[in-house]
Amino acid sequence: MNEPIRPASPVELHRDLERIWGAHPGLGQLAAVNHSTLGRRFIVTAFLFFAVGGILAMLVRAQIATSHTAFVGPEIYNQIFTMHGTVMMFLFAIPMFEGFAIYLLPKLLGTRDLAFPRAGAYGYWCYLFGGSILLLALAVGAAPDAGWFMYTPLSSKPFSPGINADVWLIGITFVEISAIGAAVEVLVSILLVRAPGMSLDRMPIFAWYMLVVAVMILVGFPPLILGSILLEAERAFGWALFDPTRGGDSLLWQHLFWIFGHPEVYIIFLPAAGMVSTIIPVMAGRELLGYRWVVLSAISVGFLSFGLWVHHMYAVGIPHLALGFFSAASMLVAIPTGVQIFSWLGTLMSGRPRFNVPMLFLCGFFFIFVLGGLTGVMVAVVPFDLQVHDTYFVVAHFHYVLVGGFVFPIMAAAYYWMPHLTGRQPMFQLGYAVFWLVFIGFNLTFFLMHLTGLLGMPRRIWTYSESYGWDWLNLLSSIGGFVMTIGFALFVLDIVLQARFGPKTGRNPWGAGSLEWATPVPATNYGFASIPTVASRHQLAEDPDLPRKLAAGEGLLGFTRRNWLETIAIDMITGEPRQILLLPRRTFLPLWTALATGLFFVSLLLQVYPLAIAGLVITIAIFWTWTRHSARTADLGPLPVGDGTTLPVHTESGHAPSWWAVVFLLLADAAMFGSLLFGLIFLWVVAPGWPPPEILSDSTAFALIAMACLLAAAGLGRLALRAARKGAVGRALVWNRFLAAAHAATVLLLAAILTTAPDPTAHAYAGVNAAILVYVLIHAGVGLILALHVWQACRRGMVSAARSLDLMIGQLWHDYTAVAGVIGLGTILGVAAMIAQAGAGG
Amino acid sequence: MTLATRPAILLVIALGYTLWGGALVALYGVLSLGCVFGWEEVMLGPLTLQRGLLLLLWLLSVLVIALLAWQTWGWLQAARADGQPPPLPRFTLWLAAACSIAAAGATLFMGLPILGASACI
Repeated sequence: MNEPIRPASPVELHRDLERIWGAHPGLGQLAAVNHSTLGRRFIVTAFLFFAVGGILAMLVRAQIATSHTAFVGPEIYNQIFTMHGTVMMFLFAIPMFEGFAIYLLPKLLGTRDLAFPRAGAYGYWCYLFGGSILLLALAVGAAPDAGWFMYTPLSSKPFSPGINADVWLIGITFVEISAIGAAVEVLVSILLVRAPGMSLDRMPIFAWYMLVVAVMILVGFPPLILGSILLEAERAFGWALFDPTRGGDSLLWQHLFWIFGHPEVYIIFLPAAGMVSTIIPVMAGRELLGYRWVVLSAISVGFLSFGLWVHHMYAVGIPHLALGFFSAASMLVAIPTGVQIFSWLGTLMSGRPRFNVPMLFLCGFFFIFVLGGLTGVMVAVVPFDLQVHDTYFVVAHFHYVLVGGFVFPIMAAAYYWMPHLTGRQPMFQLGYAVFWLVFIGFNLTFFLMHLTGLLGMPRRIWTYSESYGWDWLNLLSSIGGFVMTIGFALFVLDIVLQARFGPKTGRNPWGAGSLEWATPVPATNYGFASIPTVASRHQLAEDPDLPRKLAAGEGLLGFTRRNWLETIAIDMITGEPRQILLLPRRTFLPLWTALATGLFFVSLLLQVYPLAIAGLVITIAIFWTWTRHSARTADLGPLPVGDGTTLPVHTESGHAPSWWAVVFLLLADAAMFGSLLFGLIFLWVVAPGWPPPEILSDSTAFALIAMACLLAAAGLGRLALRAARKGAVGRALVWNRFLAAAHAATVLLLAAILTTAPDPTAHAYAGVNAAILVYVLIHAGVGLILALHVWQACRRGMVSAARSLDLMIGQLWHDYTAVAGVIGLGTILGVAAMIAQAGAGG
Repeated sequence: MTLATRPAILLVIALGYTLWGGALVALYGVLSLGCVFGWEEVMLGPLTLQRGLLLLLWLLSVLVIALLAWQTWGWLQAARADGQPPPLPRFTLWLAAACSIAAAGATLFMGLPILGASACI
């Protein structure tokens, strides 16, 4: 029954695989979970948001083209520039590289799909719905208007009383579910779901970059998510967190924002650098110079970028020595960036470069990005930064970095991979005209802004006097902006013409050596008809007949079996095959789940809280049903994959991709928790109005019992897992029952503490305390849900000695909750004791 | 068994820079606490308590990361000298050593302002 069905011919194999992996036409397409479909959707949607952001930029340029323009008033102008930045950063740049990564990675890694197709689809819907909330708000004139970084107190309730700021906080948090989900999916897929034989040193360079970026997202985004939740709690419920009159501090928001915000720049740049590192060797006709140095540089940039966040806050009054630390880190990051640039230049110099459209955009990238990098070193130097802070010099700098470092490489990538996406070649050579219009328009717009800034023009002003002498510079900048827009419009025309009417292309039109060109073009839903075994970083270059062999089913899994969607998971270091990964089929579940999640977020926005709770419950209920796909009541045992090899399926393996996914999700969780503790200590040390008028008392016993319950839950989880692994499912059920009781008791105890704790609206101390209590309470609540899920699985016979994955995943959660709970509650008790002691001493 | 076994080697690759990040946060934190609690006014011989603590923390961080670099470099040399196939691809050992060395250099450079810049102004 589990034996493979070998089709009679490659055509039949193709037909069978397409039937299994594809989605139904029409509305059935909404059920697609395949990476090729999702990647294309992300790319197209991100480009539509780019068009919106571009139109907003044109409105900005129209308004400030000359002095005293009466185009729009300050209220609308504030919304326009806030939305321009928000759309470009959150709705264009991040989803665009996610789209490329989702589309390309499985093909580059020689596998059939990413590890969690449904999570990818859910992420796409969250992105679309979250972005739509923001655009809808713009259409009705209620868009965010406090700048894309939403500084408090401007974004606090007294100064932004409308719904505008709430739209940003809730809409962006909704969208960020997509980024976190994609990061986990990409990280696990790169580490575990590669072609057999693809050890780390044989991994495509783009995968290395995306590996670094995924980790950065997991550590960098949670502080912003936390900040957004806290600010929304302040705005909606009056909690004191950022208000200096109640023991809060506006600088806490700036810290939380920029701990995300600076790595964000590199989160956007590094995928583009990965594309550059992939395309340049193909265009130069030789392999990348210094592969391992480039990997080292990517890792170094990833880490160092987290040490720069304060360089956005030089002007807020930080001690010189602290400025010195962050200034040094800002200069350090130029070194690995320089290594990459020299590697690219060296590759070109030692090869025979072809000057075609992708190469032209890469040349534009070099020119613009290096200029942006140089002005970056200038603003990293504190005295210079203080001179140009909040002027158009900074606007020029970051557009040179972001457009040079992201948009130009993305356009090179678009022209390079369009034959793969569409199976067609470009027409009329319009790409050359696109390049020159965008390149000239960009430099005319933004180079002059350096001068405007040096002449003192501040950012975000909606009008200015002609007496300042900024008119001619602004007018030329605006003309440049419109030239650039014509270039982008021509780009759309070029892409549409190519996709619709371009002549058909053959496989591998650029003569590349990477595996994505070993698939059929345009890409099929299953990617590879059989999975290659890799012996080199340039497998396709060394075996040009590889596409035919794979299409004929001569690789691994070159067959169908029980209509399963199968691919192979490997050892993350050596690339030895380890598991058969059984992937879920097309399903509407991600769409329904995202709609329920949308109900939760929209209800929060409209402050209809019962409906928000309903949305949350429905979301959890639908997520519960996701596990049915992998649920089995009998062990499958090792199964053949071809080539005489047999492997266990992932649900019967020790550390399946889903186990690793929870590990990385907990990394993001820990980043958020760390940020919360940082917030408490920061406010305690820095904020005015401390010590608080009232501290936590009479709850010590409850808190200690809750800590004991959490530790007990972790221990009981271990006992349940050990019993299940021995096949004693009945005993596992008993331990699991006690585990559920321990989590339930924790929830009740924490709820009791919350009802008697100091009022979170009175002082920031009480606000952060309440946030920590809620954090631990939610974790215990999720632990309870996981215990109930394991209970159901055991009762239905889905757990055995081999099939204990659910318990392993639960164990991770219970362990983390115990550690975070003990630290969180211990911190609350410790801080209260110290404040009381200081009060008594004083 | 050493740390240079899979998949712990991935943690070792990240460890040097993680320690660098920890050192940055610790230096910034001690500086902030010192300025609040007046450690800059307490003299310890030629140094203030504030600067003495920062110097100690900085040099300790450099030392720990340098030791990590020394260890990872040793693994790489051992893998090169053995003549036997190493337990892990040499590339991962090289990456662990290179990341640790780079992190040690970054920590050394980052702390240089402690030698001169004013602490609480």
